[in-house]
Amino acid sequence: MARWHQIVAWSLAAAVPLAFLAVFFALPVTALALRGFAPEGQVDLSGFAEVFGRDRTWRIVRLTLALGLAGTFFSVVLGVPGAYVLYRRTFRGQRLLRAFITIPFVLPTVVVGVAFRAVLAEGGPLGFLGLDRTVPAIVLALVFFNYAVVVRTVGGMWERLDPRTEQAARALGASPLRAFWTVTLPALTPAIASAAAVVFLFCSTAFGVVLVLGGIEYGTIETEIWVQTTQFLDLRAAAVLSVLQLTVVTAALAVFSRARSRREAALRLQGLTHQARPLRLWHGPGPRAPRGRPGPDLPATVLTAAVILGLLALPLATLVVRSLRTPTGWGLGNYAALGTTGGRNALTVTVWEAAANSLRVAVDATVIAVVVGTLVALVVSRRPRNRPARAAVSVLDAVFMLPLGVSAVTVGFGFLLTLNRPPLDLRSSMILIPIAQAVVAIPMVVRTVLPVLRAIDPRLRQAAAVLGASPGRVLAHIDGPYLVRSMGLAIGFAFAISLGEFGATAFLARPDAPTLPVVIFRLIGRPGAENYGMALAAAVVLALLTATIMGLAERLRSERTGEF
Amino acid sequence: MTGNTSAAALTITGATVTYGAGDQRTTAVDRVSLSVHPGEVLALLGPSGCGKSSLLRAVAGLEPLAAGSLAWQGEDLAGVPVHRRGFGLMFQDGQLFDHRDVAGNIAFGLQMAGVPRAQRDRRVAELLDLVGLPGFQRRAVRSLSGGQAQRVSLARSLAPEPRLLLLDEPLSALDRALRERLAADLHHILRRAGTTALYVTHDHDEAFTVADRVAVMIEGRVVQVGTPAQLWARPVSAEVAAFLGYRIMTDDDGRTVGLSPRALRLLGPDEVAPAGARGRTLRGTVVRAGFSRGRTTAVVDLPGWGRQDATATGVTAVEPGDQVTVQVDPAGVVEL
Repeated sequence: MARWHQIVAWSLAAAVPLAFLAVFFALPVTALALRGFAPEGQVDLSGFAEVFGRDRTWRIVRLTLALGLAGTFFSVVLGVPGAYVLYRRTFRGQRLLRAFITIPFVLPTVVVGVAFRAVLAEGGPLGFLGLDRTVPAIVLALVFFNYAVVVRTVGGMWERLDPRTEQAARALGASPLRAFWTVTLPALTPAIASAAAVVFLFCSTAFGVVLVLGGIEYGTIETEIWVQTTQFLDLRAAAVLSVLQLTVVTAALAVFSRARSRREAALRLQGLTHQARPLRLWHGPGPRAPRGRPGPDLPATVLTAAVILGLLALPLATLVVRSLRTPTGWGLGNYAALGTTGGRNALTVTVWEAAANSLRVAVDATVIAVVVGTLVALVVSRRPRNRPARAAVSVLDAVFMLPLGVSAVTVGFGFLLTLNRPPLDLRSSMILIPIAQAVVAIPMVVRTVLPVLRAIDPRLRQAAAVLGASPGRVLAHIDGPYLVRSMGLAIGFAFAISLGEFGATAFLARPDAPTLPVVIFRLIGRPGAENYGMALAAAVVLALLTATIMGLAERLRSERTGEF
Repeated sequence: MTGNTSAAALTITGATVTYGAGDQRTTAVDRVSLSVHPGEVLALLGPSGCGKSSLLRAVAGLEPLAAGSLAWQGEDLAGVPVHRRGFGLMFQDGQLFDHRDVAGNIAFGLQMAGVPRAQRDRRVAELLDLVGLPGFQRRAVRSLSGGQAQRVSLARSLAPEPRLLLLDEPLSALDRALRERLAADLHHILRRAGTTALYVTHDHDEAFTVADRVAVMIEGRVVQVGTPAQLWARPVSAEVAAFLGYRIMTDDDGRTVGLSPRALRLLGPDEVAPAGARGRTLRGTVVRAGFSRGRTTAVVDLPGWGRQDATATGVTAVEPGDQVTVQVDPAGVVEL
């Protein structure tokens, strides 16, 4: 029933993002891969054998998988009880806590690396554990990042589960634990699987945090691509590793997409119909236990409190406290130094100038990511009747998830290879950085906006059409308001990702115009207590910037939306 | 089966709707022909899954026809997209736009038609009066009860003065008492607005209350069309009779008959059939006794008739095992 101008409009809406992706993602990544596989213009696959023959490669692959699995395992094990406490029960200050646990997820990786080192290094509050520069430290930091992903994804579903199913199981004689195990957990499985897949993705492609906490000693595939390209200039090895990473990522994405469609199907069935019950930490005093017995929610609450205080709050607090310690005593000296270029001129610009660069770049990146991401979400949220169009839509959906998994480092380096010479000489125009950051942010924008559009009951659009609204006006009057509701969060995510982006920016930032994360990384690499203090202060500034942006974005939306 | 085609507003000819493809292809609507006359309310009555909603959606333009055609006043609707058909559609669960208030919902169709604001506001107020919710303009749709939401939904569908109003089980999500009251209201509102309507329902009482004519649909086909009185008096088959509430049985003469719920009157042990009463009487044994809506009811084992429900006119003391007399009301029996 589609008319020709509708077909043209939708094709155009699909073509713009596809063209963007082709030029700014497929082209650079392919160019990089070709450098690896066909350095002389001839396909030469000996690189595979050579790279896989190295012990170093296998050590790195093993560590990448181990980090991914460990990070995912602990995020899920700690996150599910957190989801219960923060979404299935109510208590005072819950909204605030929900917002707080989201902060780590959007914090720049460089900031997290610096914060964890401040906690675990000698002299830090947990220095006695001797975890500084060890694998467990990296795992802790990965859980720090991804805890919120699990809590929010699982919590969002849990909050909508009809409690009467579990009550029915209880009435049929199941103990609380058994009812959870046999009724609730299976219902949550799609959400848990979806969260686990995306956390695995984030953990196995982590860059900044591994680089800061692990140094050159502990590498993942992602950091190794960076090391091979920048330190050893071995493009062939980098290309082989990129392909390997793409394989791992595609597999994780396949799991993610299957779990996601099941979750969306399940979500359609339920709304928020019931009131969540308050936390029950203690049973009231009774004849057998005059002072009360531990209540059913106590274990989950204690665990969640421990995670929030020990894992999430401690590094952030330590970062702030340590930033106030200067070589000459406590004070704001480190912050005052942000107006300088650091001890022994470690930097080419002041930290404030870098912060201004970051904000400028972030505005551009956000505009690009939100425009392209929204177009993708609009196209992908359609349910065409004919089969080829449906297939095209699902291909588009999958294609735009790829940047989520392809190393930002690969993207950045690919840009250097392809976009710095005619016909596309963009390198000197400063626009490459926002474009690269937008490529990284687009999947998040899509994943934030798309579920909202997909959750619109198709009959609402039909009702509008029957009332005389043309397809364009249906889009404006029905999809539009929902789109606006999810837009705040999408803008927030895009802005926060751009502010903290390090992998691609590290390649593309010109020495005279670095961004804040680049400056922080440079400062911690330089000797001198004053430089370290400045790095801490700059990290606090960057953290505050991102947290403020996310706080504003959260306020802009009226209800929980999206997947993260 | 079709009425007078020349006078018809909507003409459905051999309409077929299928879902899926290949092996999974199912036919929801099977070569249905029907017509709706101007100002008439025609009910599509059938059990769930009989294809009545698919037919309605096809008329709206939301489902493509696999075969057959639709015409409005003789003009083919094939190339006309949903938003240009000028039909209204009311869903089972309202489908109100929750980002707009009550007035914003009702005015939506007028806004699409480019009606100026002042006129829109007047029409909204008029419709709110019509559906019995005056002054509800600024209410959030989420704050409405189920019955109120359906009234707003009806007002929204009526606002642009659709040529044809399609109602898809508009009352089935409501509870029984509200459903009965709203069905009567709908009857009046549709008459007062002079609306031509196609009304889908699975409830025969509702269909008989709201509609001028009823088309009974079973397994994708229309099996009988008529006024409520015609349908009730002469159901064309046992299937239709059973769906309308008749109990199908074979009597002692070997005829298949349908018994309406009140066809058998239970006489107490000491009661005799009133003099001059029409219809025959039967003797039988009470199997089970009960009480419903102020009357004694009983399952009576009648020789040659089997076990049948009988209802007394008032309260009668009967117990299982009692021998009782049952009087057959000929008006409650249809021969099939």
